[in-house]
Amino acid sequence: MASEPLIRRYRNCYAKLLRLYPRPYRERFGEVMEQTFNDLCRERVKAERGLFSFALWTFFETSAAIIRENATMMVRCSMNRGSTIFLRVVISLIAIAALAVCIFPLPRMVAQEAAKTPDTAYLIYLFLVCAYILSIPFFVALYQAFKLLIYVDRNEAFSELSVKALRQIKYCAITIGTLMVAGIAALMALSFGKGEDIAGMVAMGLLMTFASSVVAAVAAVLQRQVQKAIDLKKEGLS
Amino acid sequence: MQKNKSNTPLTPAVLHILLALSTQERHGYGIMKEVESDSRGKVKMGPGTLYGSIGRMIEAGLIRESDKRVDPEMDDERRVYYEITGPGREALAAELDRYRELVTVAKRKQLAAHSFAYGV
Repeated sequence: MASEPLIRRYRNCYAKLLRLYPRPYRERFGEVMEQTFNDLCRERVKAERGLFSFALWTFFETSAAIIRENATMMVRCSMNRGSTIFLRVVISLIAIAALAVCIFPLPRMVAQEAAKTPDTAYLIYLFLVCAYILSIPFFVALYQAFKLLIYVDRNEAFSELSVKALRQIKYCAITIGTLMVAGIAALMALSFGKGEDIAGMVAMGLLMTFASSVVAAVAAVLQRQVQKAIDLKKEGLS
Repeated sequence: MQKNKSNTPLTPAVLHILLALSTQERHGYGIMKEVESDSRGKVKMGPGTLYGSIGRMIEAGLIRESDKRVDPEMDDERRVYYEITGPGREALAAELDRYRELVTVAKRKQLAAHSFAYGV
């Protein structure tokens, strides 16, 4: 059949997507999922219906499932007591490094830049102020993540406390993302028509916006899963 | 975490898979087709939802992998078959009882019978 190569191509793409599943899940279901996808493709072809919209839907559906499985996996892994020490150390190191950057090199760098180009110095100072404002939700989020890990260690991962921490992380990430977008817009407006090269700064801002939206999404998914688990537990008790 | 005791409600996907497997063992694609025909095309499960649910159900002991063999009606690829377990049947029966109770209550409140998919 002429559509066989097309199906094979979709199947290969799907197999690549399946690699994003957590390893135990992938080893267990990767092959059969690929097979089922293949079966569904063939069925579509037999019914003489387009493959593209079906593939798009399935890729989307499977991506959602992948996010879900990874979140579950993360929750489950972190339920082993004491296993969070490494993560806590990492968070502490990030916090110390960020704090050090904020206190020492950042003001010095900004002062140097401002001395080099006195007429656009206000832009650079604005950047410094923005960086300090952004660091507040950043540190709050780190602190909440640290607290969350402590709850996990105390076996209180499924409590209202951790839901609260996750919610705060989500809000912090949303705040950072929003401020970043506002900052980029302001930067573009301020430097409009001046021929300043702001591409690097805009790219950095976009990257951080993307990173914070990923954090917000993961925090939201985890928050919902934890809340669900708590509700289930409550239902079981009553 | 305690999971899926037979007294907690099942998710729609889990209920549909249990229903599909209640008559005979099936492979993933077979389950999908059966769910689609059981629900008269209303429930369409993607592979992500299907195998996510299957994984959780195997963990909870509701179903198990039974065999890996070729489906004579399809091609010569070997497929993994799943079958329902004793606890799975119990959970399904308990869930259907819950639905029956609900329908009884609804009838008592004189709601139209045709608006329910799982009549008594």
